[in-house]
Amino acid sequence: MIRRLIASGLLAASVLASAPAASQVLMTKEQILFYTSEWKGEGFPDGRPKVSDDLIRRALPMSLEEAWGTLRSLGYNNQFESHWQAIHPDRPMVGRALTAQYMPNRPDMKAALSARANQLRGWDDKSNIWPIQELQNGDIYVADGYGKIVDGTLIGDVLGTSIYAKSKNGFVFDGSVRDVQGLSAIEGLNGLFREADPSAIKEMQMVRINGPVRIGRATVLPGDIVLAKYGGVVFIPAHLAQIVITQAEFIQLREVWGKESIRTGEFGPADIDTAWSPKVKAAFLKWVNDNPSRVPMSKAEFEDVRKRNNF
Amino acid sequence: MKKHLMMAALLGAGLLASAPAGAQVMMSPQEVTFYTADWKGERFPDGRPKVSDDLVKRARNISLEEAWGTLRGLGYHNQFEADWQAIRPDQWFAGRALTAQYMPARPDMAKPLMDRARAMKKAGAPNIWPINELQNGDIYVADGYGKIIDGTLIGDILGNSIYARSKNGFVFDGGVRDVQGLSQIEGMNGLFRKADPSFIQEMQMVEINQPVRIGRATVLPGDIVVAKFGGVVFIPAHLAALVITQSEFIALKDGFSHEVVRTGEFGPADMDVDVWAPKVKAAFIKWVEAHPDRMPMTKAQFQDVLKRNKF
Repeated sequence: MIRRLIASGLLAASVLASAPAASQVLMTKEQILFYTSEWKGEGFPDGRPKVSDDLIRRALPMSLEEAWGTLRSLGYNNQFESHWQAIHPDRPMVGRALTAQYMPNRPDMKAALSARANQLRGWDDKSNIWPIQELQNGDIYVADGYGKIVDGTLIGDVLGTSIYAKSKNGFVFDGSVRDVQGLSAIEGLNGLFREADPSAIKEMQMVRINGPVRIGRATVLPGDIVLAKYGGVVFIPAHLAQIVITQAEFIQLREVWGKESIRTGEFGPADIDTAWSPKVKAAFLKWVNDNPSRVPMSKAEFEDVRKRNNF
Repeated sequence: MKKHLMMAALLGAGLLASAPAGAQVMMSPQEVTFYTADWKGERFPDGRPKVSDDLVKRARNISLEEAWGTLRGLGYHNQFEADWQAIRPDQWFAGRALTAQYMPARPDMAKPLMDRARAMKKAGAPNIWPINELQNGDIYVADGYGKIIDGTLIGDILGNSIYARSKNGFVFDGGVRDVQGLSQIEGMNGLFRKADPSFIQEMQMVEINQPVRIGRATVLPGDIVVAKFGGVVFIPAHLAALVITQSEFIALKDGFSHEVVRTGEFGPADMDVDVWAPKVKAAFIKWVEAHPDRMPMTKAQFQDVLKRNKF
């Protein structure tokens, strides 16, 4: 019996050794593709959707409410979270999510995960460094630190510097940071966290990079577009980024033109603050056509969004 | 380019179809073994450690404080959680953990998970999948991230089905509905955060038998769950024998101490010290031999525990 158990143990060990393509420490490319299968565009080598740099740039001015509203209308009701502090509360931040799951530590889990991390990437057992090593330019490091504050500080100024060096961007932590003064001195870095605390991280284990993570009320997948501003954050599924962003741009264009036409007296508030008449619509479309520099979208995108809105 | 992407997508789909051993919906036995590698004994077909029925039965009687203390002594600081309501607060229960992770729902995640579940022949809604995996003696441990309203993981119908499968109960970091109905299921018990009349909405079960966080604790599949007096301790399977025998040993010592102080054989000054005098130790061992009915351990286990405690 014991010999049989040992044999099955050895068998299991050899299966593990020959299958680094499992979900421990790092989700595999296949697993990331499984969860983000609706994304049909370009991807990173790790499998994460790579929404275009152009769209990410255009996501920045979008209002949280517009993004939230479009997502709700598409049946995505769990993509927003608030109650944050920020390194620079006055600066919006946008990028692609790289996710990490933290859990309360267990020595048995820690041993297994550290061995796997070493085998996969040659990392040592400081697991809060692992996700940072995987960051790409433009990424936002999104971590579920389960709201732990005391002994729950995922980074201080050294790891903050390293996040910025890798991503030229920032982070969203459902957890804490230490040394906000030092973090605020890192030119260009921004980040959301729950509270700051002087303690150092303790009794926490990073278990998985690029798995689905829960950030408060929201579920985040790797490659989601993260947009943070005014104390809130919205996580836009990669395959919806274009719809959400062009919809916000469309609403914005209508508002800009509506106000302008009221100021110039072309139309009155009674024409604009209602469902637009064919005459108003036509005037708007003409203005769009005549002012390409004020339209962030391509012509094809504008045609799509116009149709989507029955215009 | 597009054709290339489509081929890659088809290839991806092929890979997924041929690799049901991924982490989605349910951890594979290899993955469960990865996290619980310290357990060298018998396992369930799903990979979970199977601590003996005898130990599970004895676990019901150990004190939470003693289990907690032994675990702390071994470096396991995150195995306890409090703040519960119970179906039957006055009754204790113990069993082997089957774990489930819930997250806020996303339509893009829901679809591949449903497809995968159907490919694995899992019927019904996602909150039924874990229940269908329960074995006799299991406790269904679910991270419902403390959601109460629209966060009720079961009502009386699923409660009946949990009891039919497990003859045991549940520990939910979340809500339940119809406590009156649940309390009428003879033999069942369960811990939950709060009850609410609403039914489950906007929640997705993402994975069975992965590591889950229950408040301050991390739970692995096969852990021994002991619930009583408003608290619960999750004992790693490979430490179950040690933690349980240690608790039994302390209970025996306490029983002996109370008796000899009452009879006057020894005074409190003899008993309430860190290390007993050789004379007291000898009397204890003699007392143990005279009370086989009070001895839950085998002789070999008792010898082990004596050595561990330098007796």
